Amino acid sequence: MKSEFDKNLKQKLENASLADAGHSLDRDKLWGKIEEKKKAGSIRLIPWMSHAAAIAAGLAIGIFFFTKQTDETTESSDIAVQSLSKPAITIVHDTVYLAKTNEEQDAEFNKPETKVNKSVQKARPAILVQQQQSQTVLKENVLPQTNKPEDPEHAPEATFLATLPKQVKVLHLSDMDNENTPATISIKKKPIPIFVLSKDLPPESNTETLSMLVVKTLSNSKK
Amino acid sequence: MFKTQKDIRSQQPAMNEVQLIEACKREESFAQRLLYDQYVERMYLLCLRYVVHAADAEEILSDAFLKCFKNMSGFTYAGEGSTRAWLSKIVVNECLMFLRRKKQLVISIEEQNSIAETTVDDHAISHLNTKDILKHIQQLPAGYRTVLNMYVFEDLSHKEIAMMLNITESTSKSQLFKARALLKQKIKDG
Repeated sequence: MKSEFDKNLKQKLENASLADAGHSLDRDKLWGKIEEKKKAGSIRLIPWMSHAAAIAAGLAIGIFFFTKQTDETTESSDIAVQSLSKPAITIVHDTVYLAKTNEEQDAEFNKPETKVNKSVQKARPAILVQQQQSQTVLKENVLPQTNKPEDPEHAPEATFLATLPKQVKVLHLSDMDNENTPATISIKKKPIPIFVLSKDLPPESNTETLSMLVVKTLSNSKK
Repeated sequence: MFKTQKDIRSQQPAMNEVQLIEACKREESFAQRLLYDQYVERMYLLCLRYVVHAADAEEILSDAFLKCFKNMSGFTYAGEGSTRAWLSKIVVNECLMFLRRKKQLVISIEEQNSIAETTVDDHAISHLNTKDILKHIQQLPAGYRTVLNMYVFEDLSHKEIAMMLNITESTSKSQLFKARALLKQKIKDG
């Protein structure tokens, strides 16, 4: 609740003029200050917007290059896996096999004079070196371990698919005893035609009796 | 021969306050200047009750008018005196912000040197001129002066003063009591 003192005080000052209070004001000068502040306030927005635009552009460029790098790394990793799966030159067996297609092999082994027990056929040599023409076909006939391994780190030392001339021959170590004998290279072993009746064939599991059977057959024939 | 802006303004047809406000909302510079001319002296006197130096009062006034023009779109004319009341609120807030920035608004709850109750006639103040009264008010400590101005001239309650100054109601009452006592003492001392 206001006292009389408060009311008189308010009445005295509220409606008083600036001149009565002993002060003066340069209106135009003050208006000029207000105009300057108005202009300064509107201009201040522009640098803020330019800073924001620069930050946005920097972010966009950074995201673009970051995504590009991730694509490149995935491509390089794919290439690395492929190079790892590429086979290297190695000798798998103690025998160097020269290129022959599967068909040629089958033709050779399926000749009537060379017909042998199927169990013997187990020792069919595997083809490692591939002809130039049938490179892709031979890939399938390569030893199973040359299939693309799932884990490139533990991939076995794969074989190298080299290109060789068409006419190549199978060499065995026994033929290579005398390396200086060129004739051994050209010698082709002719299989001895042996006819064995199927009834005389031993069971598959009993391979040891085969040689005995052959001897017996030979001995019977001599008689 | 050449007309000054003052001449141009004086020759313009009188605008009523509603038209003036609407024109200010459209950010018409001419209308803003008219509004400024109409209220600048009263608002300047208001500033001088809160701050001591004239330069500080001008700075507060320029900021207040700038804020007024910026926020004019949010103002709704509600009759005679509404524009003045709205503008006064803006100026008072600017004064308080200025005092806080300058760290002059120190409301101390400690009892100053006990102020003896002065027996001064309540009507004694009517015999004083405006200049002396303003001078006495400016000589009060900032805390006393602020509470006195807010209670006596802005018609704010102690609750509202406490909220605005972040003090308790009892502190506001105490400050007002001390301001009155000190002002009366100064009037008595001349």
